[in-house]
Order: sequence, then structure tokens, then C-alpha cells
Amino acid sequence: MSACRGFRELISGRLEGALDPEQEARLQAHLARCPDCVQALEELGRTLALLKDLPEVEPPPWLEARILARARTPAPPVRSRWTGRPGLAAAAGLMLCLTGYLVLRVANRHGEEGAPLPAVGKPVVQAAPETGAPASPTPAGVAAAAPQASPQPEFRAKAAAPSTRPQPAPPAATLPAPPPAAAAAAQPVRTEALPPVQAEAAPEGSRTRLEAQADAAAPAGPRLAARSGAAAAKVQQPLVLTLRLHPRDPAGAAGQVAEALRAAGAVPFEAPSQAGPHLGGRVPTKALGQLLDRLEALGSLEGAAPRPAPEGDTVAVTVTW
Amino acid sequence: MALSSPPFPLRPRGAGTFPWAAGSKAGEGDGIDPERDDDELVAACRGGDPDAFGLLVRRHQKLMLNLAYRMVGDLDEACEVVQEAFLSAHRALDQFRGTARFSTWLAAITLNQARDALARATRRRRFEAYSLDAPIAGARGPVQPDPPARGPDPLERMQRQAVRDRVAACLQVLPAEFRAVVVLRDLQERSYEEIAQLLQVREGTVKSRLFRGREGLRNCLKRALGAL
Repeated sequence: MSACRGFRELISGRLEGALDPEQEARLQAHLARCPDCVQALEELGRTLALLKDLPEVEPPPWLEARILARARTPAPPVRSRWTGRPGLAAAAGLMLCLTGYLVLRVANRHGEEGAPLPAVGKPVVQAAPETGAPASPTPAGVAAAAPQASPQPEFRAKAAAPSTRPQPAPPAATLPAPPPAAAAAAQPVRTEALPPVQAEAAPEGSRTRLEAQADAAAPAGPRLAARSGAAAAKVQQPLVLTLRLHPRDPAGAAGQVAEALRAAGAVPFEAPSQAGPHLGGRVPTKALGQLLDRLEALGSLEGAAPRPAPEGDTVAVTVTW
Repeated sequence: MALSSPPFPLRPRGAGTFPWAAGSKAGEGDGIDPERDDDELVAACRGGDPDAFGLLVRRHQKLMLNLAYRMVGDLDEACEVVQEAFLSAHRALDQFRGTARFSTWLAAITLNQARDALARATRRRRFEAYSLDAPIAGARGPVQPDPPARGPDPLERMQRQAVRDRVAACLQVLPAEFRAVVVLRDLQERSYEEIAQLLQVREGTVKSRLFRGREGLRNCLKRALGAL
């Protein structure tokens, strides 16, 4: 039958009257000797007649009106995958809130275990970790979740002047830097008065802004004399007080020691080179007794049994525990 | 998809039924302003004439509805296809460059919409059970059967309707690309050139598809009717 394929196409064309005389003659010659193609011609003619007998449908009366009504209204905007599913969007939002709450809660719990959280609204200056890498400014809650693997608890020293946002932590070799006004009002802080190992860790070139401000604000007198070469031999050795805590709570003690130092008129700080938990400060001689009393309330003091006879207006104190 | 007769009035096919067959004035004899041909109406529509698009719809809706109906085989679905086609054309009227007639351009859009509807129906059928006895459900309720015959020979009418149903069913059995050519050529009597332009294929391809479509239809009808 495949030999008839070409003639079948001619048959299809003939039904439309689309054959030229040459094609018509060829088809007639083939039909004269091929009964199958004759039958196909008849059937195809009948098929086309049946096909053309299919009725037309009339458009329903509402069709035009509906098309025009829809054409007049602007096309609806493409909806995002969330707007069509308010339930899904609500569930996603709820999950986000829940996740955030849990993260903050866990972070706070870690913070309470590691170190006391600062009071809300008070600025926080976080000490650099022992690795010496500068700490990045982070919110208190997140910062509290930071490295807990460090054997040394975190220290937070509240700056003298309140600020509404956290300040970036200074590099490892620097001291906390309160605002200038606070620095002017604060007691001068001198790293030179710390033990030699600390003084070595803070070379002359790395003196902090705070130090310079303290120098400028503090009245000239014995402090300046202590820096002079003649008085170098008489540099006052810092009073190192070792506190045995009752109960043992090194993390909680940091805040209490800092509070005691602050109450005694000192600006508490920590020396980066000093190992172990400690806080230092320069305390007015008059307030030394008060400081020792407060420290003894935290635990038993070692190294302070014979209360030292202070020399000068202030005395450098380092409290370790 | 229902293959039974539609609930809408049927009119016998006759010469000059389709507007483009009458000549360049597409609106002649259809009660629409014959002085404004499609190009003028399209230009007026672009210019913001609110009535021009309505005239285009009135002029071409029947043609597009019959094309869609024979392509998808279901009148409700065909009405949806026609709506979408006219709306697509309305939105894309600025892209109509006039290289083809508006009727050809609109028919191409309608065919595309019909293909989409067929694809959707295929996906839908894949997941739903069907019943041979259930009433044929349309979007606006069950499709009503033909109104009672008023002619003098109900039996002949019933037999004729049964044959038509089989012809329509065999048309749906054809592959869509063959069916489109058969509908455009044998039912809508468009020229080979226009069909080639509309389908964006060569005229030789149109003739080949037409031949194969007709042959398929013949074989199907022989099986469905017993003999031709």
C-alpha cells in the first residue's frame, strides 16, 4: 500500500479540486488499475462530507459580555507565592519568631553561666579574648554566647558614662576608653604602676587615649613625679590582693570586685597580660580601707593581712581571685 | 471533556458562514458596521475607542468559539479558551503589527490557548477517576442533552446525531497538530497559505498534516461506524 501513498495525497488534493491537469491524468491512470485507491477516494469523500456536516456552535449570549467585562478590569497583579497562602506565611513567620526567641534564650542562659549580664541601658565594653584578637562590637545577648571554651571568664567593665549603644572593644593592648568627660572626672589610670610584665606588654607607643586624657586631666604632682627618671626608683609597687572567694564564683565576683573598686573611687580595668581573673585600679589612699572591707565581704583576702602603709595620694591595686 | 451536543443553538454550516470568506469587509452581513474593517477597529481600539474592541469580539467570537470547540471538544472549556484568547489579544494589541490579518492572529492565539487547555485537561485526567454513567459536568452545571426533536423524523435525526458524535469523537482522537490543520482547512476553509502563516510551518507541512489527519479520521470512522 505504501506504493499508493503518493496517489493518496493526490486523492486528498482532488477532493478540494486542487489538482492540475497533469496530476489529474496521473491519478486517473492509477485509479483505473488500483481498486484500493478507488475505495480510499470514496471513503475520504464520505469522511469530508461527514466532517463538514458537523454543526457550528453559537456563542452563548454571556460570552461577549464576559469578555468585555474582563477586558475592562485591569489584569490582576502577579501574586507572589506567599500572598496566595496566608496560612503558610503565618506559619513561616511564627517559626521565625520562635527560632529567634529560642536562640536569644539559649544565648542568655549561656551568658548567665559565663558572666553576669550588664544592666540594660548601660554600655558594655567586652574584654578581648585571650587569643589577643580584637573583639567585634556585638549586642550583649549574642556576646554572652561567645567563646565559652575559654578557661577565663569574661570581664565586663562598665564605663563611667552611660551610652545607649555598645561600643567596640579596644584592641588587646589597650584599656577601656570612656568618653572624654568621664575620663576627665575619673581617677587617673596608669599602666606604668602595674607589675613589670604588664608594663612591658604596653609599650610607650601604645598608650591609650584614655591614658593621655587622664594625664592631661590629672593635676601635676606625685603622679608626674613617679614618671620622672629621678623618682623611678621610688615607683610604688602595686598592692596585689588575692581574694579567696566564698562561695567560689569567679564569674560573679568580677562584677562585685569591679563594683568595689568603683565604690572606692577607682576605674577598674584589666591588664591584658595578666593571667587569671583579675581587676586593677588606682585607689585613693583614703578609700583603701573601704575597698579592703568590701573585698573581705566577698571572701578572705590574702596579701593584705598587714595593711600596708600607703604612700602618696593613690595606690595601685590589683585584685586577683 | 464532553463530546455530546452543546446546549447552544446549532446552525448548519453553509457557504459564507465565516466572515473572512465574504471578503475584506469582515463585518458584512453580521449586523456589525461593515464600513469598519478589522484594521480600522484595531487602530481605534489602540486609540482608546471603548466600543472598537466590543465590535471585534462580536465579529470574531463565533469563529474562535468553533475553532476552540473542535480543538478541545468541550463547549464550556471552549468558552474559557475564547475568553482567554480575546483577553490575551486585548493585552497584546500593541504587538499586532498587521503583517497577518487580525483574524489569523487571533486564531493563532486561540489555538495556543486551546493547546494549554488540552494540556491542563490531560494533567487533570491523570489524577481523577471517571464514570461512564455519570452526567457530564460542566463549569455551569451538567451539560443538557439536545432539546426534543421537532422535525418530522426523530429517528433519522437521532441517527444523524449519533454519526456526528462519532465524527466529533474521531476528530478528538487525532493528534492535536493534525486536528488543528483539519479544523482550519476542512471546517473553517482557510487557505493553505493562511494556515501555514498561522501555525508558522511551511505549506508542504500543512498539506502533509492535512493528508495524514484526513486518513486518520477515515480509519477512525470506519471503525466507529462499521463502514463508510
